[in-house]
Amino acid sequence: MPRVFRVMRKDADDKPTVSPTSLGVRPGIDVDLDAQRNVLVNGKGMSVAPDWRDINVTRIPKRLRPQVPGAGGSNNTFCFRTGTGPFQQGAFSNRLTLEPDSAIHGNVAPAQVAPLANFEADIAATRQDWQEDES
Amino acid sequence: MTTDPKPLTMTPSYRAMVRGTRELHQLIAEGKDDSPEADAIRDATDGPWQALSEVERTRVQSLSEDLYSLAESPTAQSMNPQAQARLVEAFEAKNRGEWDRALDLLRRWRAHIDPSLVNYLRGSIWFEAGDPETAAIFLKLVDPSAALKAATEILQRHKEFSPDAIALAAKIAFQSARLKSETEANLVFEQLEPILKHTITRMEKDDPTAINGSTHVMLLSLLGFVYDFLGKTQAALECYSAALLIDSSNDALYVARGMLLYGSSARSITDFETAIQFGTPLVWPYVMLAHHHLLSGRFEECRRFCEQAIRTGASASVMSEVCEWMAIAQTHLIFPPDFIRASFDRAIQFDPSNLRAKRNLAAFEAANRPVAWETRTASAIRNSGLAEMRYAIAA
Repeated sequence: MPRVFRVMRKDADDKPTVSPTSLGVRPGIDVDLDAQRNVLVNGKGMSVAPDWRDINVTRIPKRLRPQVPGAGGSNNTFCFRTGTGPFQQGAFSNRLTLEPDSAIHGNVAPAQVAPLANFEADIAATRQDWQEDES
Repeated sequence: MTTDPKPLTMTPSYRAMVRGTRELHQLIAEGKDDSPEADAIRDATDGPWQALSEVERTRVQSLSEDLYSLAESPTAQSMNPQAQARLVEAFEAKNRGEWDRALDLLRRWRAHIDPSLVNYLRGSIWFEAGDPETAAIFLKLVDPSAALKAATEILQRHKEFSPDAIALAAKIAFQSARLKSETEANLVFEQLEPILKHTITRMEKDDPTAINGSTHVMLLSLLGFVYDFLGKTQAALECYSAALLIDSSNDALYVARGMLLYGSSARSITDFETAIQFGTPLVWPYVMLAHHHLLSGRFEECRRFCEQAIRTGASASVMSEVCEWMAIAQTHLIFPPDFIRASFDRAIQFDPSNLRAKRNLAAFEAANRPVAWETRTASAIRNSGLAEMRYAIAA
């Protein structure tokens, strides 16, 4: 699995919160749907980066300003990491792929057209793999 | 001579990111950094962030740090020689158009510098770099008395400072005179005159290839304004002409020289026309040319310049007089009476104390042509115009 980072909220067990703006996607914004509410395979998906320092500075939690000047994200969010492989196009986990669109950004997308609920469930299934990493 | 500073190149992504950063900090200041509005800004800046160059990202991050600093009070430390040298370095970097470096120096040494001076400089840098919206955030926090105190210190020990620093300090001192009585203001100008003269001489004696053109022009312009205020018109004209030899496309200098010459030399007309050719944002060339053509009986030209002046905007009294000239020109151009009345009415609305406009309207209404219009002379227009525009041009 490629090594990726994402800023998310977390639950009491220190794992990311499953929600459209945390570990999940916002239909119509992060992913496009067809008339049957299937997620299209068009490179869109859940936003991730190869390093938390590459993430939009307005999302990186403010407490990390010493490491990333100007960080403007909420301190109620955290940088999470999963995977160990290179940041390149390929399998991410079951039925999910990583689709990089630049050297510093990519999307976790469905490997094939899938109902939104299934795609969300596949993303949620990675929850235990994520760990907080702000080093 | 060094090249003039260039504003930053701003791509749509960069603009969106800077706007988002400003808006996010506004929400952070209101304690709403964990709100849906803040998340909407984060969503809107994801795309732009990815499109930024490394330099632009660093600039956005630095701006964010500077915006944080507005709410944080660093432990104030006294100005020491090292900090003073860095402050001068920041002035010089600003005047060379090295915006990022100037801002970086201020960021690193701000604990040693008066906060008002830091904000004034940050605002000036962003303004000159072509971002007035960001500049406004810093400039609105400037405490004029603190900025003036710092400027006064520099001017008192001007021989120790670079021409760039002196030019900036002199500009602050010059603008401070706006709020003073005439006697107090004259005192400021009398103090500035020898400092500016000495600095210009010092600058011109040094290596001419190392002269910063924009600083040289700023010093000459300020000296010209000072001379003008002190009634030394010929000396002021020489300063403006010398500055124009260095920067021949400086519209404000053409306007300043044209104003002094209006009514006494035809050169004033070409100066105003040149300022317009250079796209001046100042209203005065339009006002003065409208008046010139009115007195010369070229009413169509007068009408056109009146329209330009009205579009550009000016103080209520100037707008009133321009509308009055418009009405007079329209009368001579045989416009329908309703148009002419509307122009007079507008003149009176702009300035109800404009009794001359009321008398001219009455004369028009009772007209057995030709109407004997009342208008002010060139010297009267020049004097009232000068009184309004000096500080604006020096700003």
